[in-house]
Amino acid sequence: MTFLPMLHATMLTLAELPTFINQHLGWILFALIFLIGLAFGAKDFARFSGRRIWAISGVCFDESIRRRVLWITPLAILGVIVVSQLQRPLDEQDAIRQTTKFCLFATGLIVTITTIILACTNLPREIDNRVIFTVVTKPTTRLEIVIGKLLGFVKVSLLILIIMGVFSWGYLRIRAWNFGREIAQRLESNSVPATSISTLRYYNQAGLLNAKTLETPDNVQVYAHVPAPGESRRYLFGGDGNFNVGFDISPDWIAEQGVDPATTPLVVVAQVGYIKRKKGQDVAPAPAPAVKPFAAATQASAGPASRPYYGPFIMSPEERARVMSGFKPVEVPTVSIDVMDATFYSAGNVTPIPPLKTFEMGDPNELTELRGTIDPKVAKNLKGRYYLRVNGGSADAEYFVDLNRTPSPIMLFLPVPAGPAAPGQPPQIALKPIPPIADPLDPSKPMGPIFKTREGNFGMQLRGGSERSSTAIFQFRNASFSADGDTAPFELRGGVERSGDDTPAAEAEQPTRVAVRVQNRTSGMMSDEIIVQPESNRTLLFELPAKALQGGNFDVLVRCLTLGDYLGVSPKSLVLITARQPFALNLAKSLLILWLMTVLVTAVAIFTSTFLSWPIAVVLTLVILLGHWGVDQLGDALAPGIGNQVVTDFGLKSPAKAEAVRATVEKLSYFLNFISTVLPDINKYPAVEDIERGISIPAAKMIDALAVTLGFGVPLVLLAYVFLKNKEVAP
Amino acid sequence: MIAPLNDAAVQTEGLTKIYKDFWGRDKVRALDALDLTIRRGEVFGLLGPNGSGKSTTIKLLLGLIFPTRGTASVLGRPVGDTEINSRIGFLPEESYLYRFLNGEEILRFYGKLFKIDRKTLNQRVPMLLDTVGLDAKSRKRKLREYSKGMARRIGLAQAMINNPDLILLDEPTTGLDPIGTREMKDLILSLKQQGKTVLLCSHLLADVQDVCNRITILFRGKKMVEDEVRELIQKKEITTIEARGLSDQQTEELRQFIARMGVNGVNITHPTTTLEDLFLRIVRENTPQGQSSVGSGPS
Repeated sequence: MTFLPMLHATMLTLAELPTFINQHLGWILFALIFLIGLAFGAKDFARFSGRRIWAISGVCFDESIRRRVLWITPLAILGVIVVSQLQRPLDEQDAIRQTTKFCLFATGLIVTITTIILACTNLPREIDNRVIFTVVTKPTTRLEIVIGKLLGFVKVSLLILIIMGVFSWGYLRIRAWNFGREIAQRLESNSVPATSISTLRYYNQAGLLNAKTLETPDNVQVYAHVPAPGESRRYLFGGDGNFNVGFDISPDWIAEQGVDPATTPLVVVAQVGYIKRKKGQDVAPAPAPAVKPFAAATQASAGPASRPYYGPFIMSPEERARVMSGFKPVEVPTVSIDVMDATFYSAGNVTPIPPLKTFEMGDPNELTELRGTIDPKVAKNLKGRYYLRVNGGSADAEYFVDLNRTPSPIMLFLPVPAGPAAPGQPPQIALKPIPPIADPLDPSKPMGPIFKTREGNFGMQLRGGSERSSTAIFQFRNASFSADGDTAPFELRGGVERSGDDTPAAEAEQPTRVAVRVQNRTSGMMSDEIIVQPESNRTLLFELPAKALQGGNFDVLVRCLTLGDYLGVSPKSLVLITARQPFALNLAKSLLILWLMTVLVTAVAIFTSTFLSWPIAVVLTLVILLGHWGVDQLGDALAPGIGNQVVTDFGLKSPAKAEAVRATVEKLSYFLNFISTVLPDINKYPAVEDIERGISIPAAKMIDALAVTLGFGVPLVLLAYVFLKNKEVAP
Repeated sequence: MIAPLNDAAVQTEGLTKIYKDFWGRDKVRALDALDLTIRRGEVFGLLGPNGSGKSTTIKLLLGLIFPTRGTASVLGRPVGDTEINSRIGFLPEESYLYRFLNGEEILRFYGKLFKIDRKTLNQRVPMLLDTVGLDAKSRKRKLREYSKGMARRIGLAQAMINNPDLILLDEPTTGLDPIGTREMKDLILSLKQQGKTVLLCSHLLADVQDVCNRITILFRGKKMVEDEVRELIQKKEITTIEARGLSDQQTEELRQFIARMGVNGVNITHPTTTLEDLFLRIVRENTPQGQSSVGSGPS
C-alpha cells in the first residue's frame, strides 16, 4: 500500500532536482561512487596486485575455454554462411554490405550473450559451490576478485572476437574476389544494361571492400537556379520549392514578457518576391528592388480599403464585368506559410491577417511583405526549435528572397503590451522580435534561409529538364582535403523517380543524366560541367577538378538533365572521398568497438551478480543495457506535454482526475527520462553502420565508445567491489 | 612482517553469529558468545555434532561471514584483514576447487595468489604433491576426474602452498581411506613438530584424540567444555597402579591389602575412556528431553 505513494514521492523529488544537479547528474554519480569505493577500500586499493588479478583472470579464462565456450563460434560461422547464401541482394555491393552486416551482427550477438551468461553465472556459482572459499581466504582483496573476473571474461570475449574477425575478413575477401571477377567478366562481355554500366565500373575500379574517409556537406540547398556571382537573390520554384527560417521558442521567455501564451498569437512577417516563368525561356533577374518599409506595408495591407465590401460578390463590379465579358484577369501568385518542427514535420500553419484569406504576392520582381499570425492554440505548444516555411504556391512562378535586403526573410514577433489603454480604446500593442537561430559558422549572424524542394521517396526531388531545372547546392565548408592529383573523387547516391507522362518511351530505359560542377567559394572559380549517369539508389563515383576545392570552401552543384526524371537527394547523397584505408583495419576498428561494448556488458553482469542470483542478474543486466535504448524508442511518448495528451485521449471530464492523471503521467515521463540518463547508451557502440557502408570508422566514434565504457564501467566495478566486500560469501 | 599483538594464534571474545531471514528477523543462533583461545604451536580440536557451530566458527575466523556480535583475531590481527591470510592455510569441509584445472595448475594458481615467485613454485608444487601422495599421472588430470580422496589430498596441498603458520582443517579425513587417514594424522603431527598451529574440526573423534593437544566441544552454538585431551579423558574415580616385576604372590598380597581396606573388584590400573564416550556423554547430558541432538540452538 505504501509503495505507490513512495514511488510518487520519489518521482516528485527527482523532478524537482536543481538544474545544476540535473545537468551534471552523470558526473555527480560517478564522483559519488568513486568516493564510496575509496572510502570502503582504501586499504584494498593500496594492496592492489596485478599478479593476483592476472591469476584470477587466467582461471576464469581457462575455465571458460575448457567449458567449450568457443564452440559457439563455429555455430555462428555456419549461421553466417547459410544466411549469406540465402540472401537476395540488389547487386554485388549490396551482397557484400549484407554479408558484412551478418558477420558483425552474429559476432556481436554471440559475444554479448556469451559474456552475459559467463559473467552473470560465475560469482553466484562460485559462491554456491563454495569454490570462492579457497580464493577469498587467500590474501586476495575483493577488488582484485572483481577486476580479475572482469579481465578474464574480457579475454574470452576478445578471443571470440578475434576468431570471428578472422573468419569475417576471410569470408568477405573470398566473396568480394568472387563478385569482382564476375563483374569484370560481365563488363568485358558487354552484357550489362546501360543503366548499370557506371555502377559496375565503379565497383570494378574501387573494389567491393572499401573503407573510405568521407567529407560530408554542411548543408544542401535546392534553388530554382544557381545564383549568379554576387547575386543576392535566391530563387525557388513555385509548386515544389520552399524556404525555411529557424527560431528557438521559449515559453518561459514569452511568459516573462507579461503575456498569456494561451491567448496570444505570434506574428509572422515574410519578405518574398516572384517572377513569372515562361516555359522554355529564362527570365533575367531584375535589379534588387526597394523593400517596402514594414510600417508602410502594414498600413497598405491592413487597411480595410484593400478589400472593399462588395455585397454578396467576391469581386468588384468592374472585375465582374470583365470576367463576364470573357476577359481572363492575370492570376496573382500566392504562397503559404507553415510552422515546422525541428525535424521539418508540420506543427501548424500561419494564417493571413484578416480580411485576407491567402498570402497574395504584390508586384512581380519586387519584394512583398506578407503578414500573418500563428493561432494561440498552435503557438502555446511551441517549445524549442521550430522553422517557419514559405511554400511557393503557383507553379508558373519563381519566388525569391533577397539576402542583401533581408538576411532573414521571415521574422517572428510576439505582441506585448506597449502601455495602458486609453479610455474606450483597445490596449496598445508592440511587436517584440523573436530572433532567428544563429549561423553555426558565425554565431553573430542569423542563419540564412534553408531552401528545400518537394520530398519524394528518396529525398528532395530535383526535377529534370535541360533548362532552369532545380539545382541542389551541396555546401562544403572548411572541408579537409589534400589533393594528391588533379582531381578529387566524389560519390553520388540518389534515387531516381520517373514520371510516366513526361518521359518519352525511347528514353525510359536510358540512364538518367545528371550535370555536376563545383564552385570555389573563395576564388569564385567554377569548373566545367560534367555529365554523370547515376543508377537509382546506387553509388556513383566521379571526379571533379581538385583546384576548385582549394581552401575547403566550395559548393557542388547538381541538377538533373533528363526531362521527366526526378533525382531524389538528401544532404548525405553527395560526399567527398578524402582518404582510403585497408578494409581489415576498418574491421579491426569495428571489432574494437564491439569489444569495448563487451567490457561494459561484463562490468554490468558482474555488478548484478554480486547481489542477485544468476537468472535475475541476467535479466537486470539486459534491463540496464537496454534501458536507455528503450526510453529512446518511446520517443515523443515521453516528451513534455504527454500528460495533457493522455487526459485528452482518455476523455477525462473531472478536473481533479484529469489533473491527477496529467501530473502522474508527466512525472512518470520525467522519471523515465531521468533513469535513461543514468543508464549507458548502447547506441554509442556503432560497430556496423559505417563499415557496412564502406566508410572508415572515425576515431571519434571509438572515443565515444571508450568514454561510455569507462564512464559506466568504472563506477559499476567499484559498486560491485563494495557489494562483494560487504557480502557473506558462505551460503 | 606483521607484529603479533599477543601470543594467541586465535582468540575470540563473545563471538556470536545469528542468521537472519529475508525480513531481517533472527532465524538461527549458530554461535553464541564463544570465547576461545588457541595458543601458537598447538593442535586444537573443535568438536560438536552437526549444526553445533564448528563450521560457522571457522567461517567467521576466515572472514567468509561476519559476526553479529563479538570480536575475533587471528595471528594477532582482526579477522577480515586480508593481509593476514598470507599466513593462513585452509582446507574446507569438501574440496571446493576449480574442477577444470589439473592438480599442478590449481596449486600454481593458489601460489600466484600468494605472490610466490615462479622459481619457488617450481620447487614447492611437486614437493607438496609428493607430500600428499599424488603421483605424476594424477597431478596432470583435471580435478573433476579426481576421486574424493584425491580431491582431499589436493585440497590439503593447496592449504599448505604458502607454508602457513596457522592451518584450519575442516574435516580433513573425510573421504580418505585408512591409510590416507593415517597419513593425514602423521602430517598433522609433523606440522605440530614444525611449530605450526593447527585448528582441527572433525567428527572422527579418534583422529582428534590422537593428534590434538586441546579440544573444545561445541553444542548448539555454545562452548560446553575446553581442556587438554588427556585431562578430559581421564577417569579420576579409578586408580591404576603400574609396577614392573611384581610376582604373582606379591600381586595377591597387594590385592588382599587393598581388600582389607574395604575395596572390592580391585583392578590396579588407571583405564582411560575414549573421547567418543566423553563426547556422547556431554551431548546426552545437554539434550533436553524429547529433542534431537542435531542442529543449532534457539535464536
